[in-house]
Amino acid sequence: MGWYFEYVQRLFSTALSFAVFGIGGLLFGLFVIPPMFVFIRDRSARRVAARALIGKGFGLFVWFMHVQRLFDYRVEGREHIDDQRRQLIIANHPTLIDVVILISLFPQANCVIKEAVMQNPFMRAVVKAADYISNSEPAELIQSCTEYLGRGKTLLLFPEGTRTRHNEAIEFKPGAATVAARTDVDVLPVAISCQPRILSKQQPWFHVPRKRPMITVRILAPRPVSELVVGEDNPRNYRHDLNDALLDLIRSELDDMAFSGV
Amino acid sequence: MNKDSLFAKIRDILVEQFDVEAAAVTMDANLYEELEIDSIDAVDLLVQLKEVTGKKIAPEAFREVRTIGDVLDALADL
Repeated sequence: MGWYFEYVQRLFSTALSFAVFGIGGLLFGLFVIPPMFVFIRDRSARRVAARALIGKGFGLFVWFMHVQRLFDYRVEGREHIDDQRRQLIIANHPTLIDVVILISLFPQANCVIKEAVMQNPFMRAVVKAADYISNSEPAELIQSCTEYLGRGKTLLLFPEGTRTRHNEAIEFKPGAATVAARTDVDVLPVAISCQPRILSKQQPWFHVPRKRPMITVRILAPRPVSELVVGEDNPRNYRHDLNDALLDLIRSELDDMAFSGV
Repeated sequence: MNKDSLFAKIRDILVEQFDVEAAAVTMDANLYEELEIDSIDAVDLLVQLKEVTGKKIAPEAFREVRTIGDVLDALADL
């Protein structure tokens, strides 16, 4: 019976966390963001300020979920955390929670947001102030990403394009490798595991496991794209090889994490 | 530019840049399943077709495209 009370508590806490996230986003959008548009006229200064606030807010939200014992989490490779340099962060995406943790760790990183979120009344103002990239137009998306990296900043992409379908090996869509290949940046690979899984692609929010999940975020050392693919001149083969190399990097870390039981 | 020369042009692009066998390029060949064109290639192909024909297929219209015949039809509709 011991697990049952904890289970009910986590079910309740999950509902509460969704409510807090929605209300938090709305309050931010109503009371914090509009003054920023008034007082910070410069778009890039506003972007920096909005992202700093989002990072703090997400950090607070991770803390809030963690004190409710919704999950345990561990961040490995903190020495590689840097959201100021020119780099492309590549991460797998097992759960809704990983993105919240990542943005709290890399607040100034730009990321690509689903068009649905861009239009979501709870999030719209916040996302607009932070100047994130929309995924609405695929052709422009690649362009926006390469331009942003060209300005010497950090960009975060989930190459899977959506959350992982469980019981399937992770697969990358070609976009992230294309951006990396065309910008010749440093890639910062991040492997994320969530065991048992929660808030994955196919799970409803109330699908709460008996055992408290462990989320591991393993940040690897950054490495230049040019080291990942050697001796390939055809741009199309290059980006295919790069995609394979990035996928191998993340997959082998996930295998290692599964093997060592994290 | 007529349909035959456009077809030849598309075949040249696919063969030279996307490593497709010339024999595999037919009007009914499915770009994504048979010719292994991915979404990035599709965008590159659109850009090059625009350079050749001066016509730009809208991304929404291109999403409906499956075969090379569909590409020619989409260009003819413009």
